Amino acid sequence: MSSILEVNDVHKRIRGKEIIQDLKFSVEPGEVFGFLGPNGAGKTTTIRMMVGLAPITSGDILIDGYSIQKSYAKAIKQIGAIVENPEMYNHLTAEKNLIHFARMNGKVDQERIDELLELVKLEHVKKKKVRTFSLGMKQRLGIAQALLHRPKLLILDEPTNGLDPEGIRMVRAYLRRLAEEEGLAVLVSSHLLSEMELMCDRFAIIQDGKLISIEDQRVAGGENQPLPYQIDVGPEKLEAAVQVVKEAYPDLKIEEADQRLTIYIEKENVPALLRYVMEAGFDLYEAREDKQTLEDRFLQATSKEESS
Amino acid sequence: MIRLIQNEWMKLFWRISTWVMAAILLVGVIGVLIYSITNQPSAEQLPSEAQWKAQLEQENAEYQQALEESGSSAEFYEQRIAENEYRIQNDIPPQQATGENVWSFMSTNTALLDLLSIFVIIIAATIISSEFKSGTIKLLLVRPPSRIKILFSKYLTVLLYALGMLAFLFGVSFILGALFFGFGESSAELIYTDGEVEQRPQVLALAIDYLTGSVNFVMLATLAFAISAIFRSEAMAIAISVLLYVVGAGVTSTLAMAYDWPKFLLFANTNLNQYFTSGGPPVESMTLGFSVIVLIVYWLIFMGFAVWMFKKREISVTG
Ligand SMILES: Nc1ncnc2c1ncn2[C@@H]1O[C@H](COP(=O)(O)OP(=O)(O)OP(=O)(O)O)[C@@H](O)[C@H]1O
Ligand SMILES: [Mg+2]
Repeated sequence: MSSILEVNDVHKRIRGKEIIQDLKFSVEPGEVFGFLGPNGAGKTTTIRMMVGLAPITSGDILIDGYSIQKSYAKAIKQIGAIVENPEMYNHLTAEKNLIHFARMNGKVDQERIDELLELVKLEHVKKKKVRTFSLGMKQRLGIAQALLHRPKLLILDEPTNGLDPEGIRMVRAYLRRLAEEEGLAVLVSSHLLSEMELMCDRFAIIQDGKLISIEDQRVAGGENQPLPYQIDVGPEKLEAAVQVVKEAYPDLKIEEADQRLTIYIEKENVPALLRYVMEAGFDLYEAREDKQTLEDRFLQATSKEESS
Repeated sequence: MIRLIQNEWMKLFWRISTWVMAAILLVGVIGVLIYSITNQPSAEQLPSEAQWKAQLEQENAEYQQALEESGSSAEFYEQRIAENEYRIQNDIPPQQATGENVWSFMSTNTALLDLLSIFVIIIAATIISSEFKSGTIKLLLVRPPSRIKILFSKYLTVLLYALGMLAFLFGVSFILGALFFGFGESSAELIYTDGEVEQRPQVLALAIDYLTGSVNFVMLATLAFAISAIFRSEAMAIAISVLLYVVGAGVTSTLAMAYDWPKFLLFANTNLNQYFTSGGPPVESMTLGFSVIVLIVYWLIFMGFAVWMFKKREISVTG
């Protein structure tokens, strides 16, 4: 019973169409949990069920042990959330917006409001109307709003959407800090794998409303898995290089793509490979691990599903 | 609940449109003031007692003649004649003979209740739909207070706003009226029912005017509120409510001439003033108690629908 969030066999049907099927996962205190899926996968729909904005067709969602359906008030107390965009009252100041949401939780604690304005670095504009804020500032105000009542679970739908790299980096740093220092459980959705890899301890991948896999980045041993490695030896020499490498590594999968050679190789064997290629007389322009795009990863994951 | 109302009030207070509405109302009162001042006869122009009595007698002679010629509008002339005679017998000068005072000025300003009603309808129609439009409804509904509480805090805020605007209209009219016209000689309003004439102090008549006018716009505001909670469209809520406000009473009274059932229509009952003044209700069999019950039933229907839909609906704000 230590999980903060438990999603138990949740289904969601809208007008006969299954939007979410058999979704099951849980989030523990102190971890940043990613919720990854392409557009239309059902991330927002799931989050809306978690916060009680949308009814659950079957199954249940427990927040700190309380069902969001049966004991809404107790469950929602533990949640701070931004669903979709960080919408605030544009005609009110940042501070008044926070006062507004503080009142919704009970007593207004001015100290807490000041503390959060400082945390998200908005204290210098607290008397300014939100209308004048940039998206990043609104996003940060949204986070402050979600943290006001010291929730145990923070739910953010695409928190980095529309932010510049600096903004993304800041949000990432906040979330990690909150999880590590305050033991907060954070659930973030995104459709960018790279973001999930940087920000999350674990992440679930969903597609078409179904859970495809849950990846745990804290588990070591990923190094022994063959990863795609791209080597650029210049277009003219590509054919020859493929030949030479194939001879040396007959067991490995080797492809030609984008005028580069791609080899699936374990990380520890990479230095030897590169040395070999250079000693064989090729010029090495570039060699890097191929960061898979999300689509590739999905294809990989879905094909695994089908074959097993 | 109080905190929720505080919130709604804060959001309303910082909206420019709220103040624009108050300003327009103020301009309205000042307009009436300027009109009243420029049309006010000076003291020496006011007729003496003998003069206004002679005038009323002359009027009655004309009415008498018109009464004999007209068939259908006989009642109108009968009423005028009875009222004039009552004034002559009881020494109650008509408005033209006493000049303007603060009460008559405030009474003229009840015309601005129409404007106020439209403002209240607009607020009622937008207080929910604006949250949907801005997407803030999601933040509002993912906090511990139940949806019903949120709905009612908004409704009560609309009523508070209406009360505030009414107090503003009342207060400004009173202050300006007292300042420019003084308290003067308080005259009385006459009520004609079934051939009997009664008099009512002007202040009481004024209070009834404002009160019954309030019932009218509270019902319409409730309707607008319900439409906007159900359909989330402020345009629809405003259009339907304002349209009903403007034509509802007219259509109802036209129907009431031919049938009996219009007495169950909302607009046959919103104007409670009809029980306190000469006109009488559109359908004979109606009583004040009947109207109050009909209004309560309508109110329950409007709010019931609003609560039901607002509770049940899935909140999706896309785009
Ligand atoms: N009210 C609705 N009626 C019908 N279908 C809906 C409704 N809401 C969502 N859907 C469908 O559910 C699916 C999941 O939508 P959802 O918004 O949850 O996706 P998402 O993962 O958040 O995508 P994105 O990355 O674009 O935000 C989509 O195919 C969408 O068309
Ligand atoms: Mg989404």
